[in-house]
Amino acid sequence: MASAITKIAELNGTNSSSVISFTSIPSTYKDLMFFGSLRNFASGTSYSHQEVKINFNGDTGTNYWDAYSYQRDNTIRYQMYTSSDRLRPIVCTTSSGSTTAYGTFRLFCPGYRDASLYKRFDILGAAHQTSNGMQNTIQSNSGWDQYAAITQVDFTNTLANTFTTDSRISLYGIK
Amino acid sequence: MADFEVISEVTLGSSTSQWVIADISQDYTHLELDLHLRATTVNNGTYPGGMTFNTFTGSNHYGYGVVYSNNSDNGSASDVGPDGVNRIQYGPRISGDGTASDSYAINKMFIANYSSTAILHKQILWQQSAATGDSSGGSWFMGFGAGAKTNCGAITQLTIWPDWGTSGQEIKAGSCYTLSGWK
Repeated sequence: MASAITKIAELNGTNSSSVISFTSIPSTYKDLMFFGSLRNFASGTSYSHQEVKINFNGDTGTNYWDAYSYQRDNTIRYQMYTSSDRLRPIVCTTSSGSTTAYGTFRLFCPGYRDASLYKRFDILGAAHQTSNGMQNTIQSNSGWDQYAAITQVDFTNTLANTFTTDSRISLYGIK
Repeated sequence: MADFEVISEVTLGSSTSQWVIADISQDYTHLELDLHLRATTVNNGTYPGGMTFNTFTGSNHYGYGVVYSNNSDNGSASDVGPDGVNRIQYGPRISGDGTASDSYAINKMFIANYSSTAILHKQILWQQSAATGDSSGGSWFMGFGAGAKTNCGAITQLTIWPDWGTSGQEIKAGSCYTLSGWK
């Protein structure tokens, strides 16, 4: 790993918003790295998953795609989405109590500021789900087919449920 | 303090049945662990390693999910949990010691928010590959996965070991790891 790494920002959920948004991302780095743990509150101790969509620079056009392999119910699976309006591999977990669970991910974005490249992403993620093990253990190559430098990244619960205050995403710049 | 630092680089001096990474600094937000592992097993295969967090070794602590392929399997998956097993099974991959080439399985692992005392559910994500073959053939393995423990405090210790049900196996001297922290 490159040695020149800077923490750009770290954001928590607010318990009142379904979006965690990184804005005004500086163009002073070569690559970006995100780490996150996400959940939204629900009563009880059972876990279920809700998709967290990812959008760049506020773009909700059909410029996104995902190609991923994952496991569910002891079975290897694959999925490809094209002409999508968001990236889809990440989930958050709906849970509460001492057995609280989170959807966890690591997202790497090389060349985020390069205006000659479509943007590509390497994503790892996973989340617990009651009775069904580590659902959505996933590795994805995803894309945003736009040339613009990335200056904003939005993580949004697709069901508009709010992220808890202990949900947290860190953003790093790599030179 | 830099925002990304190597916490420790260790090469195993003597083979051991259990490798403990203890007293992990709490000065960072996320951990990255690069493991190169070889077992004393005289075999060309590659094998799963077990992993635990801190000193949690009782039953019903952990869950995991893995996706992999190898020289005899085009693709499979396995998962257990949550709280279904006493360790993260199929965690770090370990190469056997039977091949002429001195190869090691490669594991790149991440633990988001490892030092948090608010996020009690700790998950480790990984990508891994291994090949123990030479020009006459051999074994290979590649995969990715995740392990988790619910109701876990900050992670201060990781323990890994050969975990394929045959007693007497050890992690071989010369195996190494680099533990790094993301601030």
